[in-house]
Amino acid sequence: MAATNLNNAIAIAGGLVGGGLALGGGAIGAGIGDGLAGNALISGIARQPEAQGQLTGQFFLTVGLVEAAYFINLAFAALFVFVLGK
Amino acid sequence: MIGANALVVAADIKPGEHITRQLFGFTVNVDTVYTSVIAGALVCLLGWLVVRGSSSGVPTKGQIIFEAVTQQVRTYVVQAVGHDVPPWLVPLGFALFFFILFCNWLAWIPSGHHPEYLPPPTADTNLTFAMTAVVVIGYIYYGIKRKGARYVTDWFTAKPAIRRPILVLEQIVNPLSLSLRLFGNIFAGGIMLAVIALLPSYLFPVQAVFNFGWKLFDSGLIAPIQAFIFAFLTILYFGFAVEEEH
Repeated sequence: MAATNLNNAIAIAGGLVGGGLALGGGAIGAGIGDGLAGNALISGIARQPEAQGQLTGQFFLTVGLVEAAYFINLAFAALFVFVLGK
Repeated sequence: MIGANALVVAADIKPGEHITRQLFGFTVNVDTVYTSVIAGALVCLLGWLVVRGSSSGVPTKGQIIFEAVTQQVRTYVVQAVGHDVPPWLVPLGFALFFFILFCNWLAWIPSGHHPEYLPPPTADTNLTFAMTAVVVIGYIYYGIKRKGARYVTDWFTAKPAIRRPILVLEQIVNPLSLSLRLFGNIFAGGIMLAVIALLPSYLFPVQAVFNFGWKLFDSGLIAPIQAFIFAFLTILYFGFAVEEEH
């Protein structure tokens, strides 16, 4: 009885910590990636203001690709917290 | 179950829960099936309406949008595969973009919990992997048709030599990331809505604002961007399949 309670507690704890790590790593990566893309966008606009439309389009494309890693991490975090760590 | 996880169980979020039926021994997620049919029907309906209302004189608004998207897809295709464009590639890119966009936009419609009757079908890996399979079969077929056996041997004769393992790895990673990227984005949107619904009930107005705000972000920004990225990367991968060394 106590053993299954302990196993359940460890499973839940493991799931929550795993979810937290996945989210943390994903957020750091997404933040750095978006920041680098924004840096390039601002530098580009500073050099050539008339390229703003094209550069902003490319920025959003890059943001979409970078955020993909974060959202995949988010999906796995949800898996860890709600399914594996039951 | 110990008391501490009453808090987690009360969350009652069951990710990946679908309405299922058994068919020939397989479990079919019928909600994905009918919502993707609904999204496809909406795309066809929109297309029919635009074609019916279009004129060679002053273009209608829908016509302008469709022509702009077609033009942009054609530009990317020509950039990727050169001028010898197969006739089905531009329609494929166009269809993927609008189909995925409408699938993602189904997330805007609230349709109950457990079961959810109109979930966005792109939040199911079955659909995203199926679409990726179509794309992969397409570009492998097209690459072999245009390059023959060189399609595979070019992976092992690329210079610089460090590109060779990367090219081989890309064959696995590109399709996998293509499907999981779309799945993760839309699925996470659904999870976010469930988490927002977990706010205490006395904060209902705040919850409603967050719900609406998140849906606006999800359907207004994430949905079109992910649809565009899927279609754009599809065209790009077709380009990779037929690229030649210079």
